[in-house]
Amino acid sequence: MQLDAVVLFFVLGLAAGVLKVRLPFPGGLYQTLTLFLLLAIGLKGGAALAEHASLRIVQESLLVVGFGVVLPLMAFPLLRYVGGLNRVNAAAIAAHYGSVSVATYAVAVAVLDAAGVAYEPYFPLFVVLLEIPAIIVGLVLAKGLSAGLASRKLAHETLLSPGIVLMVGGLLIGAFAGDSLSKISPFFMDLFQGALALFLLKMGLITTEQLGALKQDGPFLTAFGIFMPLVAGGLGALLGQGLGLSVGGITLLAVLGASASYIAVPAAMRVALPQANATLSMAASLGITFPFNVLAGIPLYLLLAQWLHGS
Amino acid sequence: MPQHTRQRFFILLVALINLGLATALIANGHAGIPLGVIGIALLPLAWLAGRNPAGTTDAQRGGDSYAA
Repeated sequence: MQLDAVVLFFVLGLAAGVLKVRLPFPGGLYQTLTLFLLLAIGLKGGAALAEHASLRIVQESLLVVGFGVVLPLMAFPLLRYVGGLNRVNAAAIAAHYGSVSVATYAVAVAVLDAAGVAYEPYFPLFVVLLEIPAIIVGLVLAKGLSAGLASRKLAHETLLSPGIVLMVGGLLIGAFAGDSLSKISPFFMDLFQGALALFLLKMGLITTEQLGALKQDGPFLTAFGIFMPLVAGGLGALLGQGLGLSVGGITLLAVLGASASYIAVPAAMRVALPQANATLSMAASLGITFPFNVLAGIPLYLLLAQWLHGS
Repeated sequence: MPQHTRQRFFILLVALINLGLATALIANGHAGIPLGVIGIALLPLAWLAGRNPAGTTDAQRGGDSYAA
């Protein structure tokens, strides 16, 4: 069995965390790497969008947004009636699982690149689109239809969160920069894999911290954190197949469905549902679902995509 | 059905899904060991959910309990 190099950095971080090794990883570096990855993904997608813009992408985008609405609606009854969570916590966790993890997406792209599997280059657009609907659905589930985006502060936190601004900003720069993009490509494109590897090293350390919270909060969330990516990943793959995407595209849509947010949604939930227990959501999405996807899920979704595509 | 029983069944279901997927992958010459390990690791969690139902219910978190 051969694991991707960037995934092995995550394993190294996990091992260091379990062994309680004090790795001197500055908080500022983690934030810088996050900013770099968001911008780089946006730039790549923007450049691709400028080349491939078409009505078909608009139609696909609408279906992807619909997918983002369905996912939290699936997760909510499971959390509420099987897990026995209260309405607010179930809605908050459901919102996390309807949204996406940019880091998981970046790992999937790295795995596909390493395996030489082609994918639709405009996928960063779908990453951005999938960030938002789940937050709104989560709020409606928690507070009812009247809640929506009524709060100005919440609308600001949701639509203008740093993650969304950086990715959309990167998309726009990539789309309109034209040939001048080549001036910054050596920094943003060529260093992408190395920056991702460092980022995953830190994510491994953070994951072990979150696992501690799950020890207290239950076997159910552990099972939920594995069940949701399998089901949502399967649905994403089927949607990708229905949209006529390539093997890489089907894999990436499965990964987007399977991943759970731990950057954009927690920030929005802190404003919208301050009474929700953020530890539960973060422990499940970051402590269980993220490592599951990185270590077992992504290769599985690739196999499923190859099977669906008949290759 | 009591809450912890539902949780137990759910955890068992997820464990069986993982074990099933692992078996199918290994039978077809792919790497199924990670999923197999996850499936096996989930089995004792089903037992834990039964042993400590309060660990995952709302009573502990100050929330409502009418879902049960």
